[in-house]
Amino acid sequence: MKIIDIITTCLRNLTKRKMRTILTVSGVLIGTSAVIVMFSLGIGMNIQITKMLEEWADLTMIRVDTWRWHDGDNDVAPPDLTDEMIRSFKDIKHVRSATPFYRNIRSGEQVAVYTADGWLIEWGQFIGVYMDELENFGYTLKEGRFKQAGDPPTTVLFGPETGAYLYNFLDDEWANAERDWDTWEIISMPIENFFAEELRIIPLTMTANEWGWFDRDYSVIGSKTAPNMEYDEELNLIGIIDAPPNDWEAREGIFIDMEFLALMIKAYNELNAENQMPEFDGIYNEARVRVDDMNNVPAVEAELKAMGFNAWSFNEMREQMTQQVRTIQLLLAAVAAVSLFVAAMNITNTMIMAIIERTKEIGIMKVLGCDISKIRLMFLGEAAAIGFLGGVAGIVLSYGISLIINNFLGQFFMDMFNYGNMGEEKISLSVIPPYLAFLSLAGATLIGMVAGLYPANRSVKISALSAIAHE
Amino acid sequence: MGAVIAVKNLIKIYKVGSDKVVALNDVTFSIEEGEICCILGTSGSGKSTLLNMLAGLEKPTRGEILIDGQRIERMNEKRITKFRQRNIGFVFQSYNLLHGITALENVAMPLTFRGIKKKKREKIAFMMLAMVGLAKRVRHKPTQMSGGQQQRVGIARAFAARPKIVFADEPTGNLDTKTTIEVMELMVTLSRKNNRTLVLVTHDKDIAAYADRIIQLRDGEIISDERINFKKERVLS
Repeated sequence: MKIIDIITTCLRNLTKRKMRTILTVSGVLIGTSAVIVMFSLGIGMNIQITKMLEEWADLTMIRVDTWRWHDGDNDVAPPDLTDEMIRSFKDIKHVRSATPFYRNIRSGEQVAVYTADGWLIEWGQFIGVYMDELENFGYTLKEGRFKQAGDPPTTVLFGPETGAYLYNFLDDEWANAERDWDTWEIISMPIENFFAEELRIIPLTMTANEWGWFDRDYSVIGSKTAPNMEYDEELNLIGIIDAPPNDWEAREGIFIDMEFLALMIKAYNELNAENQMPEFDGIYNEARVRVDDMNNVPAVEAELKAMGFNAWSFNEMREQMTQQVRTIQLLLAAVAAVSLFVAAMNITNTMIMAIIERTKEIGIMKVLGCDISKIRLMFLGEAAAIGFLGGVAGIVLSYGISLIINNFLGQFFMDMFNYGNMGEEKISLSVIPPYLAFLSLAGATLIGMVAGLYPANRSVKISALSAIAHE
Repeated sequence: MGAVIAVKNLIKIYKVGSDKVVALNDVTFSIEEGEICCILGTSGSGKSTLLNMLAGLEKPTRGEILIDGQRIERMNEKRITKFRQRNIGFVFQSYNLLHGITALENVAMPLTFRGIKKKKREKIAFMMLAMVGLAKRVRHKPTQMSGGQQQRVGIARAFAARPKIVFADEPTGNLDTKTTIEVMELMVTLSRKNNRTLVLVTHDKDIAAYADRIIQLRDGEIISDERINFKKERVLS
């Protein structure tokens, strides 16, 4: 007996008792769509969480530092964060890029960047990095370009908010960026085009104690009257990078090659004996590591911690939140699975009925030489077909329910929990990825087959003799 | 011509509670290829039991059944099913057609089990139905047919897969006299034309008259075994 003949027989038998088939299929439909919708809500929630965190934080970045809590638990000093060490981070599996993130100088107190017109831009700090690694590290550009071979060592990149608050020491005037106060987004910067400006570094004479927001004594900088004003270097701005809101150091920073930064510190310290910057001795206080995928972050983080470093990432928070969602999801799915279980029993019941009804038919087929394995296959196929049809209908229904949830209930829930309108974007509370649909279909078919196992075996055991005598 | 069916010392004992009922008691006979053989007996004579065992639907308590040289009582269910599929056709008293499908599909069914493609098996089935005079009824379902027509479908089905042996169990039990004659002539003609062995089980002596040979059973034993050669010419003429 050919497969096509078995399938034809299955379908014929299913269509012969339409009402019964429809009812049994409906059971599977309800079960499948319940499971799919429950899972889709969990998936939707996870996507929302990830999206929310992504907007706000960088989920594939790990911050590495050597600062230690003295909890007595682990008092072993961490290894030094040297160039060699940072480059070795790249050998860790799933690490795409690593760079130092040296922020040991508070440029606001000791060095300033200013324009020829007298605008001070030094609120942002110098960040000593590998300039040639930034692109690979995954920073994106808002404007300009990354550092290329041949660029001078004085090449710098700004963060998106570098220069958002300016003071002009020549005119004693303040200028701030204009913001949208709802989203905190910058609408316009006080200086529209930094690239057109001549940017210079200049040491400040004041110590931290002397310096303050309202100190009118800024004028000393411009006047160059102090004895240590000899250090004067022009910076070469080539681009403005973008960074997520939680990466405020980068948003307000001035990225510069560590090599140059070290020289600058050295030169400054030689000129200012009484206001020394911490000298760079080849050991960084912070580095950053980029992981290829956020799912690999925990493993890399663990490895860095095992090396003795502190490692921080927002992935931990995401993990905790997704874990919670998963728990809720499993709970909901378990409830939904009950209906699927009932559907499975329904299939078994239907198939037993069908076999009792068709006892004579089975007997005739056996007498006429139908292979018993084919008879089993016929009934299994019928049960599987019920599962499959229920699965298909369930998927269609689930997409419908999902659409309704997302279009009508989504906003309702958001309002209810007072999330407000998070941007223009439509909120997808329920997400059905293709794999979920596919797995559900396979699952429903499998459940049909399992439910049909007992009846199918029963059909095989029917004696041909008694079956044909059956009236 | 060799024996297509050979039965040796066949014994069948049923256990009914603690009692033992001997249905067949040491039956031995053989049937030649192409023979039309009638097993005649009253109800309870063991004739149906014998037929069931010849077809491999029941296992004997003791004894041998050789069909086409093969010991079918030793085969497992899977093999015996395959064996039936290849070698045996059936005509039943109550026709045993499937009601959900057409006459054509019913006749094609044994061919389906053999794995013959739809187009080919339906062609064969159509020819068979034409042969039994139902060419215009191929798309009818059994419920739309008279008893005689249904039995003719049954006959077409039994011969469709070209089996070596056709077993017929009271094939005319549910038919009137006129139809009985039609059906019997049809079966005998088909058997003769194709040189098939036909084993007929009946209690009706008139039916037995169509056979070349009559084996009479009573209480599980053969009481007579006679060949009636002149009948052959009559049917053929």
